[in-house]
Amino acid sequence: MRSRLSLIGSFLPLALLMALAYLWPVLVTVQASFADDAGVFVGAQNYEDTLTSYYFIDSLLFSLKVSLVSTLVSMILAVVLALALRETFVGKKLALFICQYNLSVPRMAAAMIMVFLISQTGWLSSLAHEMGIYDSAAQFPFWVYDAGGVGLITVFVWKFTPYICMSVLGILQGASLEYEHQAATLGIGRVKRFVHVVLPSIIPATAVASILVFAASFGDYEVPAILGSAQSRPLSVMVYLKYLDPHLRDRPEAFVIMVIMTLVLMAIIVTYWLCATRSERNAS
Amino acid sequence: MSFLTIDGLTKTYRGNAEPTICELDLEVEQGEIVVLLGASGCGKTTTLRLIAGLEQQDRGSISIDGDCVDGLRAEKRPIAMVFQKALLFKNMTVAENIGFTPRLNRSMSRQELARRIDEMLALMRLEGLGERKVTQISGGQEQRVSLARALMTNPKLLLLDEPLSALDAELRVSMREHIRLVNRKLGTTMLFVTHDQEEALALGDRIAMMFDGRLAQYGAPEEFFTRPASRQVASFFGWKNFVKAECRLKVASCAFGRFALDCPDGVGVLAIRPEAACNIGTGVLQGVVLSATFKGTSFSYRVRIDERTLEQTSNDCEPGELELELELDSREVFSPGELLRFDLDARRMWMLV
Repeated sequence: MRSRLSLIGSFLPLALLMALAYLWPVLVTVQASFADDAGVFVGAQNYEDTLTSYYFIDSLLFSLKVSLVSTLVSMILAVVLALALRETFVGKKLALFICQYNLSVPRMAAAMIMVFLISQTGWLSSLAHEMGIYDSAAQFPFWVYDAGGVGLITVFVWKFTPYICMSVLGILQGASLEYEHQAATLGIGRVKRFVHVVLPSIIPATAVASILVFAASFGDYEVPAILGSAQSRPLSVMVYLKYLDPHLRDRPEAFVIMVIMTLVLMAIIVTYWLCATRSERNAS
Repeated sequence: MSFLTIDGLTKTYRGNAEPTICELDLEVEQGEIVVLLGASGCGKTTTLRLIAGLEQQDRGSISIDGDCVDGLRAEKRPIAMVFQKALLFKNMTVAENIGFTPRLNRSMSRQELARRIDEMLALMRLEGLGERKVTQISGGQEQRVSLARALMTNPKLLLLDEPLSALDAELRVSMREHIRLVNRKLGTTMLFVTHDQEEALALGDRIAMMFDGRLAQYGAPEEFFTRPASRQVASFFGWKNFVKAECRLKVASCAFGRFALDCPDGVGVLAIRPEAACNIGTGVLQGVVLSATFKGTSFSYRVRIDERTLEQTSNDCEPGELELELELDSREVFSPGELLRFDLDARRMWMLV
């Protein structure tokens, strides 16, 4: 009993600090979302205005689409890449190094590189023009600042694929490989091994990594700020612009959007927690 | 032709200067248990993985039941393998694990599968555990499920890679008996890898002793105690004493005397087992006990021989060769410093030429 109390005692200050650091800004944001620009309580009026706004719905759907597509593409590429990287081949160490090194590239730098690379005035466009594929740079596809979010998705996929890949690779090279060998020596063919042995072993880690990737791309500001479209602004950019509105009229809406983003991310974190708990239970 | 024929098998891993397996030849007859024995890193598991098709050899060939399996993927070979870890699928029950292969390959009807699973549960003494999750059974039961799962595929050759090493001593003994029982009942040919000499002796119809990727000796278990092929093999099987000797006309002469031995003429090393001491208290050889170690049913003594009792001059001996390690039963105990008289029994010696 005494040891339990001392454990709680040693943990309590940290827990309070974390609660304060996380809950205080959330509470302030929630409070501000129910007030007008003069700080007067207006009930759910701000929420009604925001949730019926075409721009908000469009922005929310755009952010969800970009995050979802980025996550799904990253997940599929990561699994394929991890399956390739676990094989023995010449240059494997270099491939692994590039994959790991990629994690350290700042997202903002990745976004800038993407502008230089695939914008209509970028290197690829110039190269295509030089090669005679296009007559002018304007004919090059509109991949950056586009309404479809191709540039955004490309950067997120580039940044997040190695992250999921490393999580999956660790499993593929460890226990999963032993189970695969076991299944092979029991007469189970490649496809069935992948479906019945490999997939079940990597699904928990892939799901957990993908949920984190979704949360990171959904809440990211830097990349959408650089590569986002003028027609469809991602939520994070919309919040920033509304918060900095010089007339302060849009500030309550910024707080409402922040609360909605927090709720979405909290839902994701709860899902992550449930996945992680299930994964741990299966592992034990 | 033997049931399993390995011919000139060689495997070198990338980055290794020396081959892990070098020119290995081995023949296994149908229905027998052959134990691959050796210290860690000697290549026994690699040999098993090459036979299973989990690795590809650089040279040599492997035939099972007259068919060459070189180049065939693991799932196409007529084998099944049991690993050191049971590697059971944790999201399945015991019965689902046992029926894993026929269920996925749809090689049996449901009724047939259920009947075969029941048979396997009975054979493995796992009755009543079929519906349990594999996380709810003991380590010994896990290995029996793993063995049952492998046997469900009706393999021509069952490969066992140290499947008992994670179990406690008592469980290991009962599992050994169980594996022998399965072998006798089903007649499955088995290749069993272990580093445990006792396990090899208890299980093997024949033992293949490996050192540094090479086959050092292959034969019946008793041969390792009576006719070891080399000093390495002898040391592994508990031969403690080695002395220079010369053999002429079936008589080996060494510092400790002349002994009638079935050995070819030549100069070599005479290996003497620690149990070779006889005629205690009345023998010709005399020595001082340097140390005594209690070993349960016997005592192990380190004895320095008195040179005056030797037949030849001790100048022929290397330093240390005048010391013998002897094992005597614990009826009469000698303390360090005491004199011990004894003779050496030629039946406990072997000439390594």
